[in-house]
Amino acid sequence: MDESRRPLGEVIATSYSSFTVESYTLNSTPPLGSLVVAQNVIGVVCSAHTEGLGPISARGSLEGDDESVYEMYPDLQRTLRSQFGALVVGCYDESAGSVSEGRAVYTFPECPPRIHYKCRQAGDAELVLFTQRPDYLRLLLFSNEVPNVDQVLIHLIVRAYRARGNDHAWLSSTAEYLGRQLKGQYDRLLAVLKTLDALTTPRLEHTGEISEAVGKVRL
Amino acid sequence: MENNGKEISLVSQLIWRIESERNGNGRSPAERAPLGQVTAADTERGVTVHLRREQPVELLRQGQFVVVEGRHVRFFGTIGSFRLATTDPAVGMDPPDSASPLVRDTLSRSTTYAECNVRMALELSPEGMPRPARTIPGPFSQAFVAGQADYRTVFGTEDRHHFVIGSPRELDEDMAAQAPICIDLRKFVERSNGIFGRTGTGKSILARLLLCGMIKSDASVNLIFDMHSEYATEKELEPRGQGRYAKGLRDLFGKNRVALYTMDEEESRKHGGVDGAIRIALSDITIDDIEALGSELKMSEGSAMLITARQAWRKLGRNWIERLVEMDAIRLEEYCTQTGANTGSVEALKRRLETIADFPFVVSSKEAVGGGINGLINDLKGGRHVILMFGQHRSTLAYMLVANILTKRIHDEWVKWSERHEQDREGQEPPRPLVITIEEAHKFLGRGSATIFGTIAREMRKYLVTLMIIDQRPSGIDDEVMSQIGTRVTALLNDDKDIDAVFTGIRGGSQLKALLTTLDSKQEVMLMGHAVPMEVVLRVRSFDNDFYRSLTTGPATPTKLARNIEENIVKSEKAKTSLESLFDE
Repeated sequence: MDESRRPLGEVIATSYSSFTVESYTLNSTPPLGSLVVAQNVIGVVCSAHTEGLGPISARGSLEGDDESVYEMYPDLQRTLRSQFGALVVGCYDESAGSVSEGRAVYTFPECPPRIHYKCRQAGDAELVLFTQRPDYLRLLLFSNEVPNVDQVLIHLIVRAYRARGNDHAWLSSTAEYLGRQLKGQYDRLLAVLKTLDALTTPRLEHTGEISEAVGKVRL
Repeated sequence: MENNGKEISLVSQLIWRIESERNGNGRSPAERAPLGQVTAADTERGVTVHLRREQPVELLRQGQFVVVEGRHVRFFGTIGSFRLATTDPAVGMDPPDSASPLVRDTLSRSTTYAECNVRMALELSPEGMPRPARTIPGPFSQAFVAGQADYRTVFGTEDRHHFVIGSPRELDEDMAAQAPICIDLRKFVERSNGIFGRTGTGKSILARLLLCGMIKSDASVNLIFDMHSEYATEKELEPRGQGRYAKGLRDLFGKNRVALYTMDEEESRKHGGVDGAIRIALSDITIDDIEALGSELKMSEGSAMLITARQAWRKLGRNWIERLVEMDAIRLEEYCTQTGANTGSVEALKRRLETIADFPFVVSSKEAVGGGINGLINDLKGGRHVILMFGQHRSTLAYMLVANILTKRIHDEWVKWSERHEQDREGQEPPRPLVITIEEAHKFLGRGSATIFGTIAREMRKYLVTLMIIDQRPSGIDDEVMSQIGTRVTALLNDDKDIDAVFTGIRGGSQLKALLTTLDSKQEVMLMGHAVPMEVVLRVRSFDNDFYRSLTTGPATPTKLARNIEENIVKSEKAKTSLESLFDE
């Protein structure tokens, strides 16, 4: 099975504008801002949490590693659960073909994804295709389901930017679209742009690459 | 464009695009380029065009020619002003301090925009002819930077009557040939015209250019009062010392078409080549001529000296100046006693008139005048253009005196010619349009001046005599005269009063004033009025070999005119013979 299409979990709560998925694997939730698909509905991960089904009484030892508590209390795998929430940002037009071939439309689906249907994370190619046009940002920008939707948006943009091989021209056009959509919200726009800039500006000191200008040592 | 893993800002992308266009990979300047769309319009204040993001405002220029394609009507206009604006006032109040290109470029592209105000001058009539704009384009009409075809639609193409005066200022010189700006010479000579500009802006070269056009097309016959003897022969171009010369009209068109007359017989004897010398009889100088010279003779309107002069004119008759100048102290005293004139005033008047009588070209007797003036008039009547050179007599007094007296004579001849034609339309040819070129025009056409030039300017084309006035102080010209100036070619002016004067009687003058101040001091002029469909800022064509070649090509001279010229040469030869006999005496 294609790793990128492996299900992450099942839908456990659903609506037109968002859905919640319980992960099959404890502590395994997709990163913030990643694209997930349940049925034909496309969402962006906006929250994640792991909690106990009841009160948590297990404790690790002071000397042990972080992971050692799971070895000491194997029941934790059953008594804890990981869930993540996704904001709906579009859906596949199934009339155009199967879900995988369908054309993404940036609107709410006719029906929310069904409970217990599987949810998978979209791969880079799917993410690139989905973010080809900046209209995918519209639903996110005006969502009021989560307190700080801008963080979701920033992470989604950064993921798509990296999936494109750090395509700065794409980033510029996306930022310009944001600027037009956030008319009259200058402070908000500035905060988003500055964060995007911080996350996408190459940090030369961390690259470990030898500058082309200097040349490489030939043995 | 390659990324190479480096940051490529929007600005660098833009620069790349502009450079690729310059390298010929983009749009040719001859084609229309999208500019933006109309977002507001007002018949008084013009049309607001929201510029496309791809159109850098820095590459546009005030005065640039613009086309707006309305749904039903095509409009032509010029950019009057630019404006940068923000979609959010907060951006202006708290501009981004980040050095990040992403932040800066994004904000500049998404929260700011540029717009320009376009003054709509023309609309295309259903017949495809440009006419003054009488409406405004609808919302979101597309605006374009004009292309070659648009310039042709409005300014026409070069032909016998359309003379290329320059090219749009915004086009590079090597692209200029693609969009020539033509002036309709038939319309140009219909009314009096003006060339204005401060010193050193190339007025005389511009005048020479227009004269070449008029001579080449035979739109009119020209009389040039050449104060500094610069129109006939080669003149060094500025900046001096670089060996750049502009050919004279006589060099370009030859003696068959351009006659030279002089006020300076001595100089003409040295250099030769003139067709006649002009002498003026003292008896031909009337009190009106003296009044016209008031400013130069320091005789203000209503002054005792002028009253004394009028009295002398009445009492002493036609030879009043000669008689007054020749009076000794005793006769002068007797004259004052007889007429009751103030002795001091008469003496002062005598001194002033002596300066006139002392000019070598002023002669006492009618007989000594020779055939110069008649030869000049006959040349003009025959279609030969005349340059009257002043030689060493470059004083304003001499220039004004001669220009006034000669123009009066010539004007009288043209009035008679017109009247003869009116009485016998079949038998008498209509007068040939005559354009008289004068410099320092404000001295002739000042407020309240009643010189012959004021009469000509006000009469307009009634008798087919018009003026081409060259001046650096248009504010000194009477408002009424200025309002009658048909075509105005204006180089850079600094003084606000002069700028105001140039736009007297021009529709939308206030919008154009701002444009005038943007002119370069060399080769750039604003052209407006009767001979062009709309005002335009242009770079004047160079007075070079290409231009000289263009004068020898094009429409052939009409046979009839050629015949007239031949006849005229015979007449001028006769006049020359009589002149030589005078010199021999």
